[in-house]
Amino acid sequence: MQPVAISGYQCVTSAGSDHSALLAALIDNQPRLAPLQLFSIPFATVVGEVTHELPEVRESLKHYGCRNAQLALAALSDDFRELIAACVERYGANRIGVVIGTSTSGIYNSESAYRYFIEHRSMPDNFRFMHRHFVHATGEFVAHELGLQGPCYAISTACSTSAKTLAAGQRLIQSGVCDAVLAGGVDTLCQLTLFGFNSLELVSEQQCKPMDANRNGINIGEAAALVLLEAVNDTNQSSIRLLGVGESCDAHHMSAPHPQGKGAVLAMQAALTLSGIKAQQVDYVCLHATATPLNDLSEAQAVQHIFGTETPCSGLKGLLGHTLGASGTLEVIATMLAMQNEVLPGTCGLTEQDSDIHINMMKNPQRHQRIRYSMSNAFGFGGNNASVLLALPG
Amino acid sequence: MNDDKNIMYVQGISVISSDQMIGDQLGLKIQSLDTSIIPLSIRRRSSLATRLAINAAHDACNKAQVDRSTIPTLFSSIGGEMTITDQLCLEMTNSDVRVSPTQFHNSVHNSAAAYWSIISQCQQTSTAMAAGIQTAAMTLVEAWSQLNTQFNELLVVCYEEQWPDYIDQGNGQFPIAFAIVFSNQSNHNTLATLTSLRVGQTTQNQNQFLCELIDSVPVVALSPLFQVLQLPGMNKTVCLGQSNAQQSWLVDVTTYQPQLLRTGW
Repeated sequence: MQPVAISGYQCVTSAGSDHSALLAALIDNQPRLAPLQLFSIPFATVVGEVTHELPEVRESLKHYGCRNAQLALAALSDDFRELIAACVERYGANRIGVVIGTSTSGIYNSESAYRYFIEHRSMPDNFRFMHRHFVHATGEFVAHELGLQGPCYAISTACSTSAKTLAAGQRLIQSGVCDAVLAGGVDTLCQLTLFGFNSLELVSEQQCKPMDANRNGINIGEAAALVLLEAVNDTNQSSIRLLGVGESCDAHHMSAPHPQGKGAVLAMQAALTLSGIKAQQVDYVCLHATATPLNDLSEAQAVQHIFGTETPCSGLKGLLGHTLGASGTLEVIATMLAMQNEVLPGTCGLTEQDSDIHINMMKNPQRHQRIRYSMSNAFGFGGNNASVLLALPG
Repeated sequence: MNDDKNIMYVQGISVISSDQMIGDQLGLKIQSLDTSIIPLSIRRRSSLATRLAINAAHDACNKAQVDRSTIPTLFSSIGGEMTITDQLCLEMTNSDVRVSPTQFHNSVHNSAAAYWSIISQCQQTSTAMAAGIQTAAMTLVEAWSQLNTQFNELLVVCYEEQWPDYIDQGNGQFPIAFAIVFSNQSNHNTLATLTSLRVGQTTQNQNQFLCELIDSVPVVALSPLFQVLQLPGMNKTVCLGQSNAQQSWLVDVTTYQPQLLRTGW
């Protein structure tokens, strides 16, 4: 594949309203997790909740108004909008695509609509599933908000969702359909995911512990994570390059990973092949590392198979929670911040590495570490895998 | 390598519904749902959406004579697992919420894609997508960009199940699945070519009836394409959305004559 430039990015997380808040979290490595405030649940856990006030959706787009749209809107900061506007100027609005994924879209708001439905035997008058509940709604809202008129669609493959939007964006640019693509993922906390993961006995009561001997499950988080992809040109010489996204399936089980990480190996190998990079060249791996016993062991075996036991690795879900469909792009943004600021991220929550896990886990962040090439993994339900390879420019 | 990067070769097609009246309404030859091709363990747990999608995928692959364990896939649906999500959302209104773990993991948008990969033992790239009213057109855009840059063949499945009537009244009114096997090379199985996927204005008028059906079940926007693909010797520009829209995605379709197929054209 031909590299594309990631010429802009922004994110909203439990760490704060922009990427500098995320960088601060990567450096101090202190968890941004707390008991859930948005709604009540009958079991103990902590979550990565966005607690600051979210902007309201403008009147003309009110039909898209839901927490997911608001979180996406919060990520459209003034400086990020300026970069997108410059692309519109450069290429034309119909040459800029929007591929934004989500796993649960506006379901947080659908849950209220269903409570109304139970009481009144009809859905609320102003509630349209097409504009809030279904997975394309957030991207469609963002396209309208920014006046972008190129192809607009959602990818939704559970927790690999937004890593795969980067693959789609790169292909749209290389095939000449678009000159730039706004890609990424947005997911918000809702009862369905909390109760759902709890039914699978995958939710940890405490802060999660990726790759730890005592790990016992995930913490759910929420985030909006957006990146602007562009063909490499004179205006984006200093931007980090997206070299390639390797994609694969486990073909094994709906919610359990392949025990030896067979699909994960294929995704990482494909990313290296598409990028023309050797495993030895990769300086850092940002793991999916959800902190469930099976997922982490499977991923660690796959990473060891590809990279051996020396390449520095870390996982960020003990810092921000698992932001599901947003996590793929969010962790790419975290990796970019690490590369641009020469910080090897730590693994918040990891105290005692599992003795069956032999990869080189970073417990604490390390400053002044040059990361030329990095890989970021995202693996989802249905055994859907994506590995993203990034490089410093030049 | 590609014969021509701007051509998508159609190797096999299938349209499946559990409601046989739909074929007449759409002017399409459709097959009825045959769940016997789905292993019992998966059939028992899967939704109508997943069963329709897998059936269409299976049928199109058979017709195209492709290896199901090596072909990348693109599954596309607006509601995805709408009936399962609906059940889960109803459950959330109870004071004592009890979620079935199987229902939860089956509720993901890539459920049909995942079960297909498991049944076919296929570890290739698999994507699940949606684009509202533009789902048919955007699915072909994504398919085109995959074939143009990365893959030599691709299985595309667009499907929708019937939604409960209180979900967006008038939408999701009937179940249907369309599948196409694409290649970027022609061979003796090639049925047709798709070229010049573009935005433009169509000169043909869709009937009002089809426009309304597309409003209700947007993947039905593939019907005009499949009508052409089901006839030999056609050469037509097809609209992939509602033709009353100001700008629509269009594609040129040429279907081969049976005798040309025999001479290996």
